[in-house]
Amino acid sequence: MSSLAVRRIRLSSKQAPAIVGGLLAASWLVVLLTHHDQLQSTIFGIDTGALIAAVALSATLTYRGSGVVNFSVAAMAMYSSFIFYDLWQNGSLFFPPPIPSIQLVHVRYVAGSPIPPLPVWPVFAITIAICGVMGLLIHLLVFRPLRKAPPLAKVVASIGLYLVLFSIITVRFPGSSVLNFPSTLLPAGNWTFGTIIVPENQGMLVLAVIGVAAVLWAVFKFTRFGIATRAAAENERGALILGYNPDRLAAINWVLSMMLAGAFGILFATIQTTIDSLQMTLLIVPALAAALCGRFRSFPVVVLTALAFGGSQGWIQSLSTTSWAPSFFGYAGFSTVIPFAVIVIVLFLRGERLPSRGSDAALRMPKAVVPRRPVIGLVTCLIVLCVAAFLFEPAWRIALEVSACAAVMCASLTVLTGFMGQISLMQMTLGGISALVLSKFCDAHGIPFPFAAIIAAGAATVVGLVAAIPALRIRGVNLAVVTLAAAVVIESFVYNLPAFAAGFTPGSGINIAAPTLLGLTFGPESPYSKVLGHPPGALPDPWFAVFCGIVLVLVLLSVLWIRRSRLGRRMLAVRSNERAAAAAGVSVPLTKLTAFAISAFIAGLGGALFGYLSSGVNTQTLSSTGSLVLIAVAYLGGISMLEGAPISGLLFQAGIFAVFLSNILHISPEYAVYVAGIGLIFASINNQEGIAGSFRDTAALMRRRRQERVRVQASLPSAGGSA
Amino acid sequence: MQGVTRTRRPLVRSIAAFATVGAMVAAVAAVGGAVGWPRTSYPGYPTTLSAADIKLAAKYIGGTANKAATGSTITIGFINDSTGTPGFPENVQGAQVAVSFINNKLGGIKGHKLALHVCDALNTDGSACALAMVTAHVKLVLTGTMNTSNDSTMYETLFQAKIPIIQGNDLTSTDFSPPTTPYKGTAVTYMPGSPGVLYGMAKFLGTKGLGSKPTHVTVFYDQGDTGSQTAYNVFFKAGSPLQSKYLHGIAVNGIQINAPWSKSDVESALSSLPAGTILVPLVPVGTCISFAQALTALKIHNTVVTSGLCFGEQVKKALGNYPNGWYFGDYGINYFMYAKALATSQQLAVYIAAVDKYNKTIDYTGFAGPSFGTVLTATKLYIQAGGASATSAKLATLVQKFPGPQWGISGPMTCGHVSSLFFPAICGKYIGISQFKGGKWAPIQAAYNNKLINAFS
Repeated sequence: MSSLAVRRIRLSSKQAPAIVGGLLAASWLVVLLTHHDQLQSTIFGIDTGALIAAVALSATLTYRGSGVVNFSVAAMAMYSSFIFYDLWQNGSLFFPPPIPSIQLVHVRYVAGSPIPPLPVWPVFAITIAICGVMGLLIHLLVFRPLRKAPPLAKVVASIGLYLVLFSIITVRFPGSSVLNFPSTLLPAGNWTFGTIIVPENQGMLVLAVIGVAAVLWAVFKFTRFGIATRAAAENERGALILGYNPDRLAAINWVLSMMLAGAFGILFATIQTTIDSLQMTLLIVPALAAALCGRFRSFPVVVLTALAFGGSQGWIQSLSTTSWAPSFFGYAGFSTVIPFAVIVIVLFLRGERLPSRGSDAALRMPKAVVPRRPVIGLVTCLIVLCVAAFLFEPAWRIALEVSACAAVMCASLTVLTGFMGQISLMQMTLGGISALVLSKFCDAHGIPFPFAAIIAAGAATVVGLVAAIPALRIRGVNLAVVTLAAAVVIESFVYNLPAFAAGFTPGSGINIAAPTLLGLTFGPESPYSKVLGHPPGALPDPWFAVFCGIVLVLVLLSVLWIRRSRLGRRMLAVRSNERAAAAAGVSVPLTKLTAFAISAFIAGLGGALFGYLSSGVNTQTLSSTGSLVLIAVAYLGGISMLEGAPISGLLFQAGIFAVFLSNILHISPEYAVYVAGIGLIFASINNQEGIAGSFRDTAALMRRRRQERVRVQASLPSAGGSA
Repeated sequence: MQGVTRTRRPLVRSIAAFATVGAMVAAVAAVGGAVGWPRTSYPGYPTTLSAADIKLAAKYIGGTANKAATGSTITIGFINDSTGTPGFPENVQGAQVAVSFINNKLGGIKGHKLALHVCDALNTDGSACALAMVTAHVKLVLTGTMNTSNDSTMYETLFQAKIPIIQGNDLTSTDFSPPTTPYKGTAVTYMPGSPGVLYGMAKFLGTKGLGSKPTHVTVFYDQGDTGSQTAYNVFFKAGSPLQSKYLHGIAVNGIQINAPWSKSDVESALSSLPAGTILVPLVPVGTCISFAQALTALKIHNTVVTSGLCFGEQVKKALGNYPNGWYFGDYGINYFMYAKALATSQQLAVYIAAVDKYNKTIDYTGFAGPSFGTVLTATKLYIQAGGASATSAKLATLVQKFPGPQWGISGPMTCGHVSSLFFPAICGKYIGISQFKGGKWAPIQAAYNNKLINAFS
């Protein structure tokens, strides 16, 4: 008998995750089939999985068609369900403000309640058509102009779109929810398989999304359109030469994508019969996780992963009732950990970027120019802030404090995104971690200011460094997805851990004591002596605004030092081209880790400031949505410039701009996010350097003209001079 | 007003006592049926504002019936979480109905018009709202519903300005235990609040309110609603004082949710629970609807005991009617059972009629009713303090010493009585449980049948 040769089996980086994933899926299936209650709970979660799958398929379509990772696709699904509801319930079609709604059909009222004037299926068809038109407009007005823009610009544009869609619903529908969505689109019975119940409408939704995925797979594999789209994704120029129009292909994919998201958003809402705008919009996180698992290419993998995410929510719920499950299984928000973990593990193991689009993109990042006289500028800024703090009325003064705190947070993005080119969508939640540590640890143990704030910021740094680990192997849009998922986990799960939650027992609140130094207390509620004629005891304490201003100036000076230092140059080098930087001897991992650490520390300081401002932890501001608003205003203000941070702070919600809107223009502050979203889209298309960049360019232009005038005058022969 | 000064004990001990009391009850029921209280079935509330309604309200506040206010405006502050998720805009709506009623029919505040300076705390932050109140020079502030757990800045700002606060349907620990350092001020609620309702529900379960003591209870509490989450930790979590007092011997299971829960989320949770467990959803109205739909879809008939958060026209719109068989915790009376002889119910009738007259579009079944009552009670105190010449200090004294009860709330009440239980701001004590069954509402332990539950005894 001959001996068997031992063959070493090598797995590629593509095979390993697939095999591991397959084994895990098979194990899970075995567990479910042997535990009836767990299987039943899992099945009840699959309708959410179907919507996640539809959103993920839409995101994959837009990526394959145009190279855009669309962060707003779940918001589109949500938006379409509200369009459907308003049309069906009220016969009305609403538009973005200030365009008024159109009453399409007269509505009868019986006993004060409207009688829906239109049957559901025609309304469904009309809504899907509207979604298609919206998809075309979004392509033409937003993403076609960004075709050659860097990934950062496309990401912020889609975030701007997310904010616009979300804020329209917030303004148009108070409470941002609908509780009586019609349930008649899908049948309401049950399918029974032995002892397992599958609600018929949920089963049909799942079958529909699987069918759509199969159709998409076939289209992209066998049809001319699909092959052309794949070709354009690989090489746009080559596709052009072959006679395909990448722009038209992108437009068609956008239309299909939005119609798909819209249709499934409505069908999902009809099963739930309720819509909550925020919950539906945040499904973008598991959807992008599923799309990433499929590498934004494989429709079957995307759907299977998404269905698994949905089912896992029910499964976790079932496990939480068992005696052996850890207590945190039962905490709401724990299910958000799963997509986050999947994203991190899959991307880290793969270590590859998204399949890049073969476009002629000119990868120009925003300029990171050092200001001409930064110290004078910063001192001037501080003086203006101090004077304003003592002269402003209370409403403006508190807005000034909010703006100063937000400016510190924006400075964290200047380092990470402006200098390093790393997109982070979790900065406000890092601030939340800092504020929670400040309350629950530092204040609880009597640690005095400023050590308490520094320790709290240190805690945020630790969390930021943990988030940096995936960043060592992934970058760009992938990192944006990871950080957004992390933000959602922090907001949904970490904030609500018993250690952090407020309670009725004494000492269990999340209050933060005012900062005190050398016997002086300067929190916003501290009374102060009469200064500059201002009546004593008027709140908020202007000295708190001065304190925020000093912190802001110190942070900006630090950012300036970083920019001018070797570290700053290394950051810019990595931002421009990682491989070239590595070839030049720059340690890319160390530079990234350093940038993340610095950014997280600054965000932690910002979180501490917000905590002092609210005398507690405001989890509504320090949230994932807050992080999106932060990057929006940071980009608007000028994300890569030192002077961008203070400008961005003015634009932040509840800041100076919001008070200007409400007190001067008499526009509800609810519109502030809407305006910020539109401004962000506009800035990403037309002005990547933001407002600060515009000021700089204008100042440079004026300087050049002045110098030109001087030169011209000098070259003219002097009057009365000798011949 | 309630006519009830103490809770009647359950009818047990001996057959003789049972028979005697049973005969008395039968006699009272026979007589009471003729005058409208107590009854086994109740009509809905009338919606026309009658002269008697106006007279009743005018007498309560010390105003003048059928007289419109024409003098200068007196402004009271009103802080509420109006926008956001969750938002409670109905508080402002109910309060504005009260303002219209007082100005048009009750003579205002000694002839002066009443106005509310409203601030949305969710949109502008509690501290900003407090500053707005100070800047507007209001002397009294009311709150609607605050669901943010860090409103201590708001209280500190108002206390520093010596502005007293009458709270509404607050939900958080800061509201029930407002900060007392560095400033000690006046902040009270004349209602039992969410702690009262939840204490009362626990007591109801533990003292055989359902007929027998349950063996297993599952509490669903919202992670985002500070009140219900901490209420679970205090009331239902194993080892809590209330657990040992009332829930001894009952297995209590807690499930934390992230509201709003969808129908499929609820189905997932229900499919893994023990059969026969009593379901206690302490959740907002959207999740209530999901609960009802899930129970119907799965054909599960477990007993459900929930709170007044599940009231609302939205429930009727979504489900067709309230869920059959559900028990609801409330403040002793509810919006659907009219008992003319019961003073609190008559006060509620005035509110419903005022809504019909001044703003038909609001959902009158939620927090709007208590907010209406808060404004009427605040007006009463303002008139007692001198009207336009009232000072914050005088108002603070009256607010603290008000013997109660608030308009539309079952009494009696005593401010400061629950300080040992960490709720120094709560003055109200009594709650009720009612049930919707077979298309009708019935009181189980409520003001209607003299069985109000003293939640904090």
